[in-house]
Amino acid sequence: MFFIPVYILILAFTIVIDYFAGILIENAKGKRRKAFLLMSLAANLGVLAFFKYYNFINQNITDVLHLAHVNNSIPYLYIILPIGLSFHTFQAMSYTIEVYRGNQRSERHFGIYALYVMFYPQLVAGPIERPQNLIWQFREKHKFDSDRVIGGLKLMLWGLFKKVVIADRLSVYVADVFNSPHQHAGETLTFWIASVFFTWQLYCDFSGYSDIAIGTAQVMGFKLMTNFRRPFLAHSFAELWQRWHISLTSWFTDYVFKPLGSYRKGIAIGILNLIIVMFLSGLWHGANWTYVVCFLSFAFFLCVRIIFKNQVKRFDKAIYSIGPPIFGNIVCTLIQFVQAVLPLVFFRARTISDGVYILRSMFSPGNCNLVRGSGETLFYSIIGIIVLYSVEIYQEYFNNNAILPEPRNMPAKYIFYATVVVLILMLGVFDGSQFIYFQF
Amino acid sequence: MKFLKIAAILLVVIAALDFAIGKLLHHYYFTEKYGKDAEMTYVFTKVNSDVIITGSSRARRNYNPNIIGDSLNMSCYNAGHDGQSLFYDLALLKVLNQRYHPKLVVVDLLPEEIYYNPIHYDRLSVLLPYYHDFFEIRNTVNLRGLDKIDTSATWYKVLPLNKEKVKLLSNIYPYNSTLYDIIMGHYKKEKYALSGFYPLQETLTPDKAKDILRQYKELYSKPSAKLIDPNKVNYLKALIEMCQRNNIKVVIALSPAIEYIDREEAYETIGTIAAEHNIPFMDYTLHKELLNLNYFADNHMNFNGANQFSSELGHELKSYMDTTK
Repeated sequence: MFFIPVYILILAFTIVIDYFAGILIENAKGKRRKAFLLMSLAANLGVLAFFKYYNFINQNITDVLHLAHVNNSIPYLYIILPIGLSFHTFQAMSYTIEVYRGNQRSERHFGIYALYVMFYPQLVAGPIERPQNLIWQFREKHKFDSDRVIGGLKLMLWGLFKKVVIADRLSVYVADVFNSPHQHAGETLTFWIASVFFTWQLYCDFSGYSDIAIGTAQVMGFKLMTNFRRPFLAHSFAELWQRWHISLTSWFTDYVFKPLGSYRKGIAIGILNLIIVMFLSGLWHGANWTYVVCFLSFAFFLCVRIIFKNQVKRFDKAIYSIGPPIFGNIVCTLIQFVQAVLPLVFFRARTISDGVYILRSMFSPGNCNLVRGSGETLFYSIIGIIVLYSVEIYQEYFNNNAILPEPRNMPAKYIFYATVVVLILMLGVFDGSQFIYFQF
Repeated sequence: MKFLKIAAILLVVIAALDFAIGKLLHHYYFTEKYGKDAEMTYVFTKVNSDVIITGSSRARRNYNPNIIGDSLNMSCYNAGHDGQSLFYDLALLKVLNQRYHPKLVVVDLLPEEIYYNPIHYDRLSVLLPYYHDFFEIRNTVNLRGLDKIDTSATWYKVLPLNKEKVKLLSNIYPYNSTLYDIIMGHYKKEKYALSGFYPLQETLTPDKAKDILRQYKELYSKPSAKLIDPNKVNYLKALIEMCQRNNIKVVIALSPAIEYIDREEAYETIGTIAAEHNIPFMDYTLHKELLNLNYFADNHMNFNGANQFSSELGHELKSYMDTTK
């Protein structure tokens, strides 16, 4: 997760390999095409495995050998994970796969291919683009279009707001609880608040970054794919999953889930495929079993929906029959939100045992104490969450194309955007925090 | 052209709002009656006690100024500030120095505090509201903009830009994250305010104590977390020398701590600086009677513990003052 100039060589290595692999795959026939694709995938995954998983695998070997009272003599390496490695590796792999599938012509211009992998707005944390969406845009001429630039700047402003006003503020409470959960023994309410806050923090942090990346590209005339579509306003967990980190979810769907057979070979195989994808998604996020447990828990909720499809339908129908549709929407939104909150405890917990401890504490009778001196954090966090939901409800139900609910008349519009800047200055957290997804 | 026009108008509106809201925040910040901001303003503008205690939350929670003052027969104020370090201590004493000279300054200092920690630079944000009115603290606040910047680099010599100074062009920025305190500072009276002393009431359980120890061990397990910060060493020396120039006695105190105390380089550095300047270094971390879980709330002492410790320290300070009259 660090920027080390010499690491540019790693990027250069995969760029050169994939550039030539693309051309070779296109020119080859029969089994040679597959061989070149496998060579490219092996190079990309090899780099990823070495930098991200070497010590993790080694640690697991040590643990297993320890059970048999055998010492592991494989040395640990002090490797620093290059920033954004998982993102640009996946983007590079999607290029060679699409060339192999015939959906994308190999790029002959080395500079354009290198730009595809290194396009700076999305280099370190996505969205993970597809060659069909991006490469052709590098050949287009881009004229200055003030409406497009202003649209991009508005998106960046909203992304910045989500990051510094909401995510970084929520992180204060979250860090206090998750970094030392045992210091909060018996504080049931605190564990719930921290877990719910982390869910919002993760969303605002990552979708905030995505908005800034997409906005930056838009200012320069490039259109990147949408990465988040208001996931916490989804009415089912499956829908939430379709709206969350879309570029990664669709990557795994297109390149892993579908090739495995998706649900075509029956529900049982489909569920197994889903579990495999979720397992890999967890590992993609980090070399720690906590991520795997988190994503397998997501898989559990998704599987429940598939296995008990009819019962879930009846349950949803029953909820919607109680009152007006808005009531049903709110209840379903809350249910899917809780299904996101619980697995994400493992995403943030330092260890699996910490995660289990936090979940147990959430469901054990305890007190309603809050973290000492947290009034200020709660005050700013609640303001941020109210703004977040106001904007997202406006986008979802009133104006799907709008970024912010801006007034129509021009003077009011100036005051509105100036106020957003002022709110960032007044309520933002400016003290050296990082984007969570930079570490992946 | 259309874009430039929109950008220019927007900038003017932002500047106007920044100016007007900044002035309002300045007014309401400096007229707060209760809470930590009001107390800090009080320390900066009005405190005139004979004994000043400085340091982090450990100072604020562990030292009862009434007990120490009674032992010395002097007035005493606890000016410790949560989350602060030597940077804040020197800035504060520089401000006080413009107004009056206390007779004794007690600096609570955990050895680990002189390791480099970016958070200590970040937390200087508490000084931002005072930046324009108190020129003595400006160099300290400017450290925020220089942290992690190689000032010997060529680019810095060509363009010596301190990002903190740029941010401070805004009138609102100094009051970032103060809105809640401003509202509370006008309406909510705090419970305990005994001359800057904020004792804790809870009692530490063995499990929590174990967890605190684990955290400390983890925190300082990497050699990179144990690098002495030359800025802090310079600030400690500057603090002592400034006091000595003005005939203010200084004592470095290490209040009881349940966490592991690093007795290596950091501890030795502080000891050496104290010895070089001929000032006492009063270490209570090995005081067996005070290292009792019943005297702690978390990694800070509780009210009983603070009273017990303050009483012991008061006696030691009394003998020091008597012998150095």
